[in-house]
This record gives sequence, structure tokens and C-alpha cells, in this order.
Amino acid sequence: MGVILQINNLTKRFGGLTAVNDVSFEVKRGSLIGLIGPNGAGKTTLFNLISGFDKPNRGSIWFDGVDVTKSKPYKRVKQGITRTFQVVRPLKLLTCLDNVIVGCMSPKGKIQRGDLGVDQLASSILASVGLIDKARIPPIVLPFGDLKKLEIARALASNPELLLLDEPFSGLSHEEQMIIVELIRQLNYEGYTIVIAGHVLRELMALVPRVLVMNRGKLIADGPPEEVVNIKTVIEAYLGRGKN
Amino acid sequence: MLDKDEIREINLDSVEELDIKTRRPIGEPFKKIIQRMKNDTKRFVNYKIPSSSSNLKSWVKSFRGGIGLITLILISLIPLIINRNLYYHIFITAMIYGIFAASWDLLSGVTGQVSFGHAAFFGIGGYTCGAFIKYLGMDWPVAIVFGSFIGVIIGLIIAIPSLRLKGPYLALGSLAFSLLLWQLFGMDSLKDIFFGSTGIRNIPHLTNYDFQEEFFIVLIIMIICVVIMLAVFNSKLGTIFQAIREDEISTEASGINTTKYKLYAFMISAFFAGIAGSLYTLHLGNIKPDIFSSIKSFYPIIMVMIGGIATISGAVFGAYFFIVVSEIIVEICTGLLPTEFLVIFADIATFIFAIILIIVIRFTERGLMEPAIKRSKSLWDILLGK
Repeated sequence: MGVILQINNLTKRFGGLTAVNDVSFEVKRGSLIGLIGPNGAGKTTLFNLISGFDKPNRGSIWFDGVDVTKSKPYKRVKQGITRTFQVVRPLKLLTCLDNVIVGCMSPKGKIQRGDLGVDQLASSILASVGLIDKARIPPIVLPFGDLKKLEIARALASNPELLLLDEPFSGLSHEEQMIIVELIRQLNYEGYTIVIAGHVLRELMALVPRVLVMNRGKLIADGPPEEVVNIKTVIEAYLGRGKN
Repeated sequence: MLDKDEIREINLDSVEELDIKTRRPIGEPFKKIIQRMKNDTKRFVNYKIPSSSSNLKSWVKSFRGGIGLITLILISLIPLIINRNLYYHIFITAMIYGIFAASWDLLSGVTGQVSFGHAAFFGIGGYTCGAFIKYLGMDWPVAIVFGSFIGVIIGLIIAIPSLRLKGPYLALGSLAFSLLLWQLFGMDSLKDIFFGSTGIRNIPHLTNYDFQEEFFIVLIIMIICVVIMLAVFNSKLGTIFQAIREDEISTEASGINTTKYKLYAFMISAFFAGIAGSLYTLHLGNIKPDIFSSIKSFYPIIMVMIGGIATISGAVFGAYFFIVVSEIIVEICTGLLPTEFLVIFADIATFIFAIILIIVIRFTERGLMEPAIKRSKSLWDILLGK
């Protein structure tokens, strides 16, 4: 049970704006981590860097002992890092089943197939997120809660070791959020390492045993949720510097 | 159907045993949600999901398959009834453009890599086939296949820089390549390599001008080509191609090397466009640089738009519609109108045809086939006794 992800001094600048500023942390295999911060803190940029959609200006990313800083997104999926998108990106005109099949056709996705057909594997993944009755329906007509679940199903299709979930709870009703919480909890129990980007949310704080807090590109806190919410800088990040 | 043990069921009974020092225990309302998800997974065990890729038997039984088969049989029989060389010529041309349009549809409609310069692959196929037959004495089947493989290689040379381009830039870039080839093959100063403005002449005809025999040969070749392209379209490879069209970044995030698959699409499309170009050359008996002209690039686009984009079979239908209707109009104009009229309005056939095309494309959203299919679908169900 070693370190699966190591981020060293990661920095990303967009012109004059430093979106990610000298961020370093470690993730152990099998852990469940929350990454919180106000909007614009750099959570999605950090995910982009870890999953290969952006190249860092400085720093390195080590995954499972391998330097992956320079690989392309599809290569990182092959190595085991898969991310979801904050604004869901389903393949709108294909059926939900086809959406998941695409992930199953990736090199790493194919490995988990074993004796199953691609269709059956994709169906079982859809069933595990609760979307099996919508297998033949294109996501273009589905409600938002189902699209969020489909996003997770598509990520699972590529057989990841590390799952980066970008705001899986945003925009959902309380009941829908609880379903996602249980889904994440179960996935972590099965062995997936999961990092969830989100906001300070009661459900998120109750779910994860460790929280990283970002503000303006910097990592300002790292610890269990009950301690982190009491740190002064974290409170200031969300509420600003007030009289209290 | 799967065994219960073979699918990864959500093992939710063990969740409550987790270390919940910092996490809430599961309360009653959430137990119901979890039970619902458990039932969903259990339901799947009894849920038979048919495979999304079809086999021949189910395709024939399906609506599109049945219609396709009937149309194919009818089309093959028409020349036996109307034994005129002109009709053979019309249908042979239609079939050649059918292959060409289907190849364009596979690249641009299915995979979303819109190409405005598909004539490049058409012409390269034609030139290599013509040159191989005339100067190397190859037999025409070998020349066609070999010529198309060369076309694929040239296609790769065109495709690899094009991969960095997206959307309108890819379209214009591909157009630029075809115009480049038009120039290159037309330059008399490069006559020794590129045959100059006269092209290649006196290429022995496919069947020595026996149009009836040629008709059936081209028919068989067209069926083989379209069936292969349909097979690709309906396979998992086709699913990946459509995924790239829908959202390339999302597909990449699922672990697919989109660059590799885009190249596959280019290669398959260039191959079949090359076959179409070869058949075109063998039908005419010569080839000139204007095979690379931009209008030849736009023909497949118009044909696919008529027949329905991203359907492959629509491309063939659109090709038939385009060629047959344009020929009919030419016949009508030359037959009915007085000669003086024609001299003044020499291009009246083209003009009328253009109007028809505009009307068709304006009023059929997803191609001519869609509304016709919707109406005949109920008839088909009745025929099958559903």
C-alpha cells in the first residue's frame, strides 16, 4: 500500500495568472481525498495537470513510481489516471451503453474484460451506477443527475487506479448527492484511489478522511476535515477577512 | 446472459463495517436508496441486452436492411430490362460516385473530420491505377487494389499534418491539398512525373467497352465496398469514430488515442475513394488533372447531404439521386428544348439541377431518406406481420 501519486512543486501559469502555485502532496493507494477550495482556486487546473490535459510550467508528477509529467491524456489513462469533467461531457448522440463502451475499448479498459464481451462489461458498469435501464437511451434526453452518474460510469470503463472526480456533487439534489456519496464510498472500498474536487459540503466533509484545501493556486491546508475547517486561512478563503 | 457471480455487484452489506470515525453511519433513508441500486444491479442479471453490433441475419430482418436489399435487387435488374448503353453509363457512374460518397461519409460524417478535398484521394487512386495499367501492364483488379494502397500512403502524407487542424481549418487544409494536386498534375513542366495537362490517355477499358459486363463488375465491387464500410460503421471501431466526432476531448479522456483512430479513418476513407477513382478512370479510358478539381470534392458532400449524413447507405442513395436526376434533366433539356434555346442557355440543365438540390437540402433536415423511411416503416412492419 504505497504512494500512488506524488505531486512535486507543480506550477501552472496562464500568462500573468498563476493557476497552480508550487503545489506538492502525496496520495497513498486506496485513500479517499477531498480537494476543496473556492471557485478559481485551481482545483480543475490541478486535475488537468494530473490527467494530462495541461502541461505544467514547473514541477513533476509521479504515478506509481513513474514520471508521467510529459505523457498525453490517453497515455495517463493507460497508466491508470482517469478524470471526470466538472461540466459533464457525455457523447450526446450515442447511447449510454456506447458511451461506456468507448471507455471499455481503451487499452486499459480492455484488460478488465477477461471472458466478458464488451457489451456485457459496459452493461455491468452501467448497472453498478444505477443507469442500466437507460442503456439504450442517448444522454441528450437524460436528466442532469443521470449525466453525472454516466460521467462516473465512463471513468470506471477505463479501469482506473486513480479516479479524479471533478465536482461530482454540484448541481444535484440532496438525494442524488447521497447516491453519489454511497457510490464513491463503495468504489473506495473496492480499492479505487479517489480524489474528489468540490466545495465545503457537509456530505463531502463527512465522506472523506483527508482534505486538501486550495486557494488562489496554493495548497493552504492538508488534514482531516474537522481540523481543516477550523484553520483560519481556510475560513478566510471562503468568507474573506472580516471583523471576526 | 451472465452468471450472478460474474458481475461485480455492489457489495453494500460490508459498507457498515467500515471505519466510520469521521464519517456518518448510514441512516434509514439512505438504506432505501442503496437497496434501489442493489435491485437495479440484480435486475441486470435477468436483463438481456442485445449486442449493439448486428450480424447479417438480423440486418436483413431489420428495416434498413430489407429496404437496402430490395433496392439493390431492383437496381441490378433495371439494366436487364432497359438495355441501352446510356443507362449502363448512368448507373455505373452512380455506383462509382456511391463508393466515393460513402468513403467521404465515413471520414467526415461518421468521424467528424470534414474534408473538402476528397478529390485528392479520388484522383490519386485514378492516376496510380491508370499508370499501373498503361505503363506497367498490370491486370485491372491488381491495379485497382494496388493503386488504392498507394492512395492510402499519399492519404497519410496528407492526413498527418491535417491532424493538428480541426473543424473549418481541416476542411480548408484538405481543400488546399487537393488544389495543390490539381496544380501539380496539370503542370506541363513536370510532365515526366505527373503526366501534365493531358493526363494519361488510352487506358484500356475495364471490359473493352462492354458496358453490360462492366455494370455487373462495378455492381459487385460497389456492394463489397459499401458492405465493408457499413461493417466498420456498425462495429466498435465505428462507435469510436462517432465518439471522436461527438467530443474528441471526452473520448481522449476515456483513454482512446484519438490521433491513431483519426488516422485509421483517413486510411480507410482514402482506400475506398481510391477504388472509386480507379473505377472512374477505367470507365472513361483516360484521366486528366481536373479529377482533382474542387467541384469533384463537392460532389460527395452534396450526395451525402441528400442521402443523410453519417449513414453510409445514404451516401449511395444520394449518389444515385444526384447522377440519375442530373442525367434525366440533361435528357429532358436536350430533348424538349429547341436548339436555339440551348445555345443561349447552355448550362440550363446545371441551373435546374442546382435549384432542385437547393430545395432538397433545404427541406430535408437529415437527408431525403428520413421522411421516406418513417412513412414506409409502418408499411414494413405490416409486411412482416408485426
